[in-house]
Amino acid sequence: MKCERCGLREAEVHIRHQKGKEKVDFHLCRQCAEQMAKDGLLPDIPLDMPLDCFPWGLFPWQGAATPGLETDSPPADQRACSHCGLDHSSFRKTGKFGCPDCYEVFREDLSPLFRKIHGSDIHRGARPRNACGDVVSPEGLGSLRKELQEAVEKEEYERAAVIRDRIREIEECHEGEG
Amino acid sequence: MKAKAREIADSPLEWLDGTGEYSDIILSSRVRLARNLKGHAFPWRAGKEELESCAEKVGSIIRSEDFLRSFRLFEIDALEPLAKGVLIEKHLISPALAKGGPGRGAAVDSRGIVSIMVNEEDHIRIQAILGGMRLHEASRIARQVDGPLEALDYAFDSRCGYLTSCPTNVGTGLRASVMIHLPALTHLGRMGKLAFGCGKVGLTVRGLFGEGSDSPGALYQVSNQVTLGQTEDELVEKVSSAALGLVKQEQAARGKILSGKGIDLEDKVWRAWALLGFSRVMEAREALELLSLVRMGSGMGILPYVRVGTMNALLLDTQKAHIQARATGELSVEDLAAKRSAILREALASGEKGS
Ligand SMILES: [Zn+2]
Ligand SMILES: [Zn+2]
Repeated sequence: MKCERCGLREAEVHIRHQKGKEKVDFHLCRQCAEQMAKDGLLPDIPLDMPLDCFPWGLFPWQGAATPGLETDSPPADQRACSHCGLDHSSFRKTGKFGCPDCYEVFREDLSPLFRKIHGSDIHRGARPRNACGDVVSPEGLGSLRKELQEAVEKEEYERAAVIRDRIREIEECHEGEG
Repeated sequence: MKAKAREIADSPLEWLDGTGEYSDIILSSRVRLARNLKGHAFPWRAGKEELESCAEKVGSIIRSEDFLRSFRLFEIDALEPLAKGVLIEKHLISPALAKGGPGRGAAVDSRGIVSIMVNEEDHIRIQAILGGMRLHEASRIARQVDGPLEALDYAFDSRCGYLTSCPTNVGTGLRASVMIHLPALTHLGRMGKLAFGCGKVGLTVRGLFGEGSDSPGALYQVSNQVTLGQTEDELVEKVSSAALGLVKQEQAARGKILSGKGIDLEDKVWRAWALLGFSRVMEAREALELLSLVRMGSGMGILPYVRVGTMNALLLDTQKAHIQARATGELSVEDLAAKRSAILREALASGEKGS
């Protein structure tokens, strides 16, 4: 069962809350449960109680790695950013980029990570007026085309449309320069 | 020394005026944009020189651009703790930025709408806050400030959007949020369920003041969870429409309580009125809870009318740093509680006369 709140991760925390006649069930992933508990939004759960008082084990994961980063991808490798020195295992541990170049260095981790956090891995919003010059290299454009093809094959049409728009924008951008 | 903290406490903050739609329930609308400079390590990974050079670049644009020239610049390390406390209570800087360090700074416009934080989690954080339900307008203002700063050459990637230090902000770098007062829904025990529903559509609801299992004053912040994959307008619209939905539900919940045991509600808000009007000692948390009841009672026409602007101002004026900044000399804990009580008594007494 998927988490009812984020719809992305598996639900691992199941809470039944009864108030008078009203009954509410919560099925949440660990991250969402923790966040909601922190924000005081899980009803009637006294947060100052000792942790082992929770029969459903609300906090068994405390001290676990940064949410969103325990991906199923292979373990950290030898990659490191030559600009800021951040290595792959530190990136995994902190869940933070050290500098803009890190995005390039850890590029292959980004798609699963962003899809987990945002449910998407392609920017559709505004862009700086001067951003055209450094838009995606020819290889980058090629990889986008490949992704478009994959999306179409998997019948992920919404995603395909987004990628197609992106490719068109980049092409127009390069024509403008040319 | 104290003069500066006092002056900052007394400087205007546009949203407090209570203009804007639904301002009795939606206190403020805020949009913030996260931006970074190309070729520079993000602040958590940058050394002293790099941080200072980023701050200098941002500062030079602010000082030279017509539209930004009137902004007031603060170097965090040059501020006394009390002045930082006042800026935090006004939400013009974050507690994280207030910790200071090389290159940490902020710029604030003269009307108290826009603040630019420098070298916080990202090199640049632009935020615009307006009163009531005005997220789209706040978004336009933030983008307007973003325009001239673009000249600094932002870290941007056509695939990932604006690059940020934390992957949770990447893409638009935009967080839209409203501060919303929901006492009736809180009283009916609906917030858990509502927050949960908001979570399902990609929004976060959190208590504004409390840590732990409650939110004193029934003040919440509703914001977008994701920043990548949707346009700025889509994100802003999503938070807007959820906030309007919550306003309608809050209004319905108030009606429901009133038509049930209305006398209990009347008693409760009048007691809050009496306590605020006649107490001699008031703790911060109690003030927050009583102000919440009076805000609701006044909004429902049970209590005498109090201007929304008056109630907004009291939320800030009764906080620790604001009281301390305006006092002469150092206040003890007891003095602080007595002073808070006096501020509330005076404001409500004059507010009533003004109606
Ligand atoms: Zn979840
Ligand atoms: Zn790096």
